[in-house]
Amino acid sequence: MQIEKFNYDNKIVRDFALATLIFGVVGMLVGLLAAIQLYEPAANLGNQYTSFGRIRPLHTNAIIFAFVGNAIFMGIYYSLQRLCKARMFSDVLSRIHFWGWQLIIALAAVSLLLGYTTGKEYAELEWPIDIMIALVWVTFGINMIGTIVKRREKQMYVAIWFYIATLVTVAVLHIVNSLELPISLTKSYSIYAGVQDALVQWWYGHNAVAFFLTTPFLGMMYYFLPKAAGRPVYSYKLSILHFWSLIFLYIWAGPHHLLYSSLPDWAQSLGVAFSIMLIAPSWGGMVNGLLTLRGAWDKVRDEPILKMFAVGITAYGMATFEGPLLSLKNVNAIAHFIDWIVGHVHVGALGWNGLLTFAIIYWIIPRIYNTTIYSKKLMNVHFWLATLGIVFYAIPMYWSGFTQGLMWKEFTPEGTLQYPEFLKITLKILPLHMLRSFGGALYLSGFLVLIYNVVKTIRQGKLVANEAAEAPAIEKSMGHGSEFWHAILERKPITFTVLAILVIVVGGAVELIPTFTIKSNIPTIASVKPYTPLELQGRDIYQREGCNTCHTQWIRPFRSETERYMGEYSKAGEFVYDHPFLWGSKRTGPDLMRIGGKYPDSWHYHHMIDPRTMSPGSIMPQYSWLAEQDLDISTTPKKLKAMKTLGVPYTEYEIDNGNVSLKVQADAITANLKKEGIVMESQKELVAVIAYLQRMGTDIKKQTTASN
Amino acid sequence: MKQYLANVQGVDGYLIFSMIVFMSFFIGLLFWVLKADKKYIDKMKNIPLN
Ligand code: HEC
Repeated sequence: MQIEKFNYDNKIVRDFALATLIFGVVGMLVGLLAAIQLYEPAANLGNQYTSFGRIRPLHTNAIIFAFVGNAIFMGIYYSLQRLCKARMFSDVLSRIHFWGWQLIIALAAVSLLLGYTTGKEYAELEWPIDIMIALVWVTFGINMIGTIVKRREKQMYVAIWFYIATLVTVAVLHIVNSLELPISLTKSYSIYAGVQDALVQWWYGHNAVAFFLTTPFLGMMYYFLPKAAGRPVYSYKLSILHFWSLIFLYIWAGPHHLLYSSLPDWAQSLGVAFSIMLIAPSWGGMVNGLLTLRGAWDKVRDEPILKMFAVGITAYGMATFEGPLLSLKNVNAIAHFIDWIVGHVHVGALGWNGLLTFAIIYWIIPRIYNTTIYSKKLMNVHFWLATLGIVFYAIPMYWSGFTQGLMWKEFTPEGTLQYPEFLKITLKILPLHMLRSFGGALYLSGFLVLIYNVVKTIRQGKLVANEAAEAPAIEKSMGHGSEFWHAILERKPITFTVLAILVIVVGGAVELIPTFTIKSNIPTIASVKPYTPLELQGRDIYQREGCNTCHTQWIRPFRSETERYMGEYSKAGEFVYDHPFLWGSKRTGPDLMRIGGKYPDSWHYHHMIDPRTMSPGSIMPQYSWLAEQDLDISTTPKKLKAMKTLGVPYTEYEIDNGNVSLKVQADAITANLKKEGIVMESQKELVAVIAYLQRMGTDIKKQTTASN
Repeated sequence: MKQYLANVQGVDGYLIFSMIVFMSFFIGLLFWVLKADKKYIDKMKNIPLN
């Protein structure tokens, strides 16, 4: 057998590691700022760029795609080369991947702060960036599959399957969810409307958690944990079972984000059933991870890397137990929209993604710098700061979530709401929010300790940019009859990839196709009409300012909600012209579905300029710039035309005279304000926002008046 | 009304269909995994450590 000599590319691993550190700090700092804004509105810093609605998507994108994303690439580039006994397929592709991804992050940060957003959670970036993401992802894909094809290890270890599943599924999700019709470089409309849009978005959102935050980390767990523990994974058979069931089940479970919405019942039930079944493969993964450490607990005690793995994997187990629990309809009835979800997400992000990332950084850095870690003691300090940070984050969030959820639903014996005033409930949980930001600060300080430790380690070592290795060349002979089927599959990466695609596409199709083909799934309501041009512009500003990060537009069919929000629960037919849907997922402020007509225009004017004048103690940011900035009406015809292309029944006449009718409606609103002694020019953005707010959820009332 | 009925049937049909797909997939998988050759499994397990 011929022994071949080659080099591992460590420089690319180092680069991704440094990017992980930088964006980890940025993402966590922005998160901390957002957390503080939720009890101290002054922390919105009085300008549009740093107000909560724009900071929140910046935080989630920075953590998911910049911090965790770079960590994934770091882990994959390190482990894939070693598992394949081959250098990455192409150094050029590696560099393009690295710099392309960092460019995307930079553009994302700028565009989110400027308010360019599609309004879809974790997919906020506008279409030019979406295209760049697709291209860079393909670069990564070619590089990865290329490496697998030229490997010197006959079989593909389980970690590699997880990487392949990540690669193909993220590509499919990203493309399907990002289909949008551009208006300009910085603005587009989702091609889906209302309920369909919501279904696609949460199919995406749920599986982004599965295939960006879960599968790559499971893959890395299967490589780095045995490495760090110096022993093989507990059960390889379990890992096969767990892999295929996990990717099979995850893809169907998305609708659990939309329970009690106007999504058809069958889709909701499907989501619940598959969510519950997901416990099995998830726990299969956790058990496999933890049992790998069995009999080595003495090692765990004095090796901080193993401690991080143990706590991280346990956090994964907690989060994946909690997830199915949250998808039970009666639990979801209380849990949806509240801080519990925020707690749940952070157990996953801080515990599972965070701790595993830290452990892997501590493992990789000394090795590629040919040295040992600068201080093991500081690693322990970091471990405790991170763990305590998670505790101080999660417990206040659960507590506040339950308080909130129960107070929203509490009735007096006479049958009226015990706490009709939304704000009163919000104010009650503020101390818990303060505690939460303390937890976040602890976690961040631990991360700074890691950075110090890593910088010191790098200083004392020297980067082995090209690490020499050797391995026998792969034999060409293939198959001898009675071979294990999976062994054959593992030698054929392309077949394997196709099979994985098939599994996720079948699941995705079953979930999505019916809503697209069966029109009857969305009963239309005759009195629901398209938005006027002014309202449409107002809606786009609502989206730009991220009002949907705090406000839902989705009243569930519970008495506690129809009572509180003074109207009927939301119907699927009410959203047919909403590109994109703006249902929201969190009620930091009250639902706005039936806000139309609740207050006079002047109330909104004062409330938007400074919410605390109308609602003392409110934590809503002020939006005074809306009264200063002129509405850009040059886009009106283009927007109406785009909507028409997407199926909204505007007539040619309405499109051609869009700005005429816009002006008429705006003048009516300013005249109305003038009666209350408020002077405002009708071309200001705030006028459009008021028009939209006053329209929201009112069409269905016309129907009832008509039929009475 | 007809539309309503169609929806109700859809619920069961979909759930049953997807459960059957998954179950057959899973049972097939289980069967093969249990049959797996021990030597092969041991070899796979140790790949990262080599
Ligand atoms: C940081 C979260 C947050 C953001 C972002 C936010 N709000 Fe609010 N909003 C609240 C809270 C909390 C209340 C309840 C207290 C009050 O009335 O101010 C509220 C109340 C409201 C109300 C009154 C609802 C009612 O039924 O009394 C309206 C209308 C409103 N917000 C509109 C908006 C608009 C429009 C935007 C975007 C430009 C926005 N909000 C952004 C938190 C937020």
